[in-house]
Amino acid sequence: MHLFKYYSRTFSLTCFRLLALSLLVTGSIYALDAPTGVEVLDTPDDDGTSIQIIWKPSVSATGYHILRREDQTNEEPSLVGKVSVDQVEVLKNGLLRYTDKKNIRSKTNYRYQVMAVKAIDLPKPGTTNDPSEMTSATTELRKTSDETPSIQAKGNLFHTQKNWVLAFILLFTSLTLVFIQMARSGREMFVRNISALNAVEDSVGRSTEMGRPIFFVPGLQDISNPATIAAINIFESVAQQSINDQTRIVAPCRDPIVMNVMQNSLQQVCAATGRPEMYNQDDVFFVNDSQFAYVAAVDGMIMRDQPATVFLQGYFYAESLILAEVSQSVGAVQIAGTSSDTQLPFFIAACDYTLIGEELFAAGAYIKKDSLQLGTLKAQDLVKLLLFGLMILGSLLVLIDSSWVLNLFSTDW
Amino acid sequence: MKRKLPILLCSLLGFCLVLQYFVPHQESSNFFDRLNKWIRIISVFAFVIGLGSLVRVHLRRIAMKSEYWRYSLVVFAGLLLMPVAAVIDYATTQDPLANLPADSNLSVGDLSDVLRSTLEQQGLKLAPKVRVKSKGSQWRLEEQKLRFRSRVIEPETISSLNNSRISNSLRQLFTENEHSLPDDTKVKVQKKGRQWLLESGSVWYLLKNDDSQEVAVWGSSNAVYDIQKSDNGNWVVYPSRQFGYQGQRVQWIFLNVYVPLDATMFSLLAFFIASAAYRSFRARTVDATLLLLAGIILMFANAPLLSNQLWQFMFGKLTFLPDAFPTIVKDWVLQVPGMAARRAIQMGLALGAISQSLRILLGIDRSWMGE
Repeated sequence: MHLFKYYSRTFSLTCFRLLALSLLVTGSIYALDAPTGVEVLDTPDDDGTSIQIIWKPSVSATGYHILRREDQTNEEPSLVGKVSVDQVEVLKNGLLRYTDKKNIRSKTNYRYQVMAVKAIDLPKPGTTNDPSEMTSATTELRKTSDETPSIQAKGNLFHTQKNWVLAFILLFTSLTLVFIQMARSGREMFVRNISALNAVEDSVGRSTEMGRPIFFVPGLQDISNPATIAAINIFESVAQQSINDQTRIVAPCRDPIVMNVMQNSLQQVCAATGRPEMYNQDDVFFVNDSQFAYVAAVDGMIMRDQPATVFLQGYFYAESLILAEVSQSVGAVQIAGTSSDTQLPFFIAACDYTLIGEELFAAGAYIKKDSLQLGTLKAQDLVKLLLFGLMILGSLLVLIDSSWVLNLFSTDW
Repeated sequence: MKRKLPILLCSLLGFCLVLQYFVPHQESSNFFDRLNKWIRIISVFAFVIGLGSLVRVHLRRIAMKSEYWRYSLVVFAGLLLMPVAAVIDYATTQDPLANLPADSNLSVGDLSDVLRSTLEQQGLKLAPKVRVKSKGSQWRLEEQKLRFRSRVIEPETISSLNNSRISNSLRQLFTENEHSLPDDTKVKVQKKGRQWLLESGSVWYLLKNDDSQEVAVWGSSNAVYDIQKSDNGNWVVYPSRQFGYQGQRVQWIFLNVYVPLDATMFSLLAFFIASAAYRSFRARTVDATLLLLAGIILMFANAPLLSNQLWQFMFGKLTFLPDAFPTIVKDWVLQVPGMAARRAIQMGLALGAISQSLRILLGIDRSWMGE
């Protein structure tokens, strides 16, 4: 009797355990919900080549497949993307997002489905009882959502994330126009002393006294770089003084278009100063468009011609120090200026005078004393003041736990 | 009109480009791409002008026997050397690489497995993807550029790459992306920072394991082969005659003359840094002294011998100082005063560049026209 009770209780317990295990297994391993709340929207601020799919996460899904079909066709939805739960983009409200960029055509309607996927390992019956030697096979559970309404990707005409940039540009342009108008009306524009530019006249005079040429290196960038245009502005002013003093100015160029523009500048300066015979086309010449071949050639010329003054203006790379040191070795006065902030320390260390930061871009206006150009400098100063004010305000706001200004500058443009 | 039209065109296109920045529409991108193509085309014509200038200047020096005129001869020697080498490469009869039977069935598209194995039996290593093109009565085999991004299998798969072993999981990664790593066991692996270069014959793959936990693979095999019918009716495979592209002489001059000269010039920088530092670090003024101090701190922290052994020897007993004190000071110098100065300069440069651009767009600054 006892034996019967024992077996009966053991059997009941085993059944109960099996039932509990099967419920546990069914509830945890095999449970997978189809994604719900699937929405589609045309990606904002894009060129009409992507569609966003947003859905609520499925409990225990390990990944999602994105299915798509063209509307008004009877074709089966095709797989356009796979994303695991580690990779999927999670929005602040907990929803998941996938951006479909796969061959999206304009004027085509699409419908989407999101398939939740769950990978499970099924134990394979092994020949051994040793758990370490048991094998498993991976299989996938899949649940698919309902089909979304049809959607079409459209290109946007304005990037709404760039509102602040537009506002900044409009402000800058308006201020520039206001100051240009003020300059036109005859208002005096004060610009602080820039010692590197004050030294231009002395250095040109030095070359004249020593009877040696002036070398002008306009950087390694092409004409589309603002630093190159700033360098050409400085070149004009230097050329004017050197032609007045009947001193030769030599400009080896790396870019043929820059060479052409500088030749025109020199020709016009010669004509304007009443010395057209001083213009020699071969004083502004193309050397090479390879970085170090150009540097080798220019260094060679500096060593042979022994210029009294070397201007290094424009955009420079690693060659900046090589040019500056070779100029220093022949005893030339070096006046440098670059918009490359990584090369500025080299110029400051090696050159006699250096235009730092925006001084390079202000140089043309400063030397020519052109009131219209000086007006734009005033606008630039005012914007800089405004930015400094914003920085101070931002710092203060951060102290009271408000990151409004900080976010303004950290917007992903 | 001669002056006004360029200014008008410049302003108009400039403002269109400013507008383009705010318009994400496809037409806006197309406009930008088209303008970029124009710039490239103009650059090619400009190069002819540059070449003309170079030749004129040096011819005049030679003709007038001016000082150092012999250097101009070197310029012409260099100028003519590469095109001559390319012409010789182009004109030289090239050795056939492999043969195909007369009845080979070549068709436009991908190379069939039968033809691939025939060519590979004769020693022609081919990239995994080769496209066949018809070229009149001849054919052309073009190896395809390969690139894909794939989720990395295991970070160790990439980082443990070495010459003797290319793991099966890496091969699997290629197979999943419809490529195959060359079966050749002699795959040369080079580590370059966080990138690995796999070379096998003419095929190379660049593997990059970036922060997104993906592996990006770029493959390059630009080899092109021409297939011509020989007198006996067989198809013969030759290396393609692309002017100045695959020639041995051009390659040799580039690798043995140009590259070492270029590297030599760059290497001079090390000596010039030393001489510039010596001059500017003389503590004659307050500014120079600050520069000297910052320089010493950076050098001290960056040189392992100084920052570890010497620091321990000199100040090891000062237990109140944190470990790696020189590195902490260096980081502070770079990230606080250094970064503040750098950002101020960057802001000034950005505002200056915008102001300069506005002057050009408004037609106030016309120096770009040579005025």
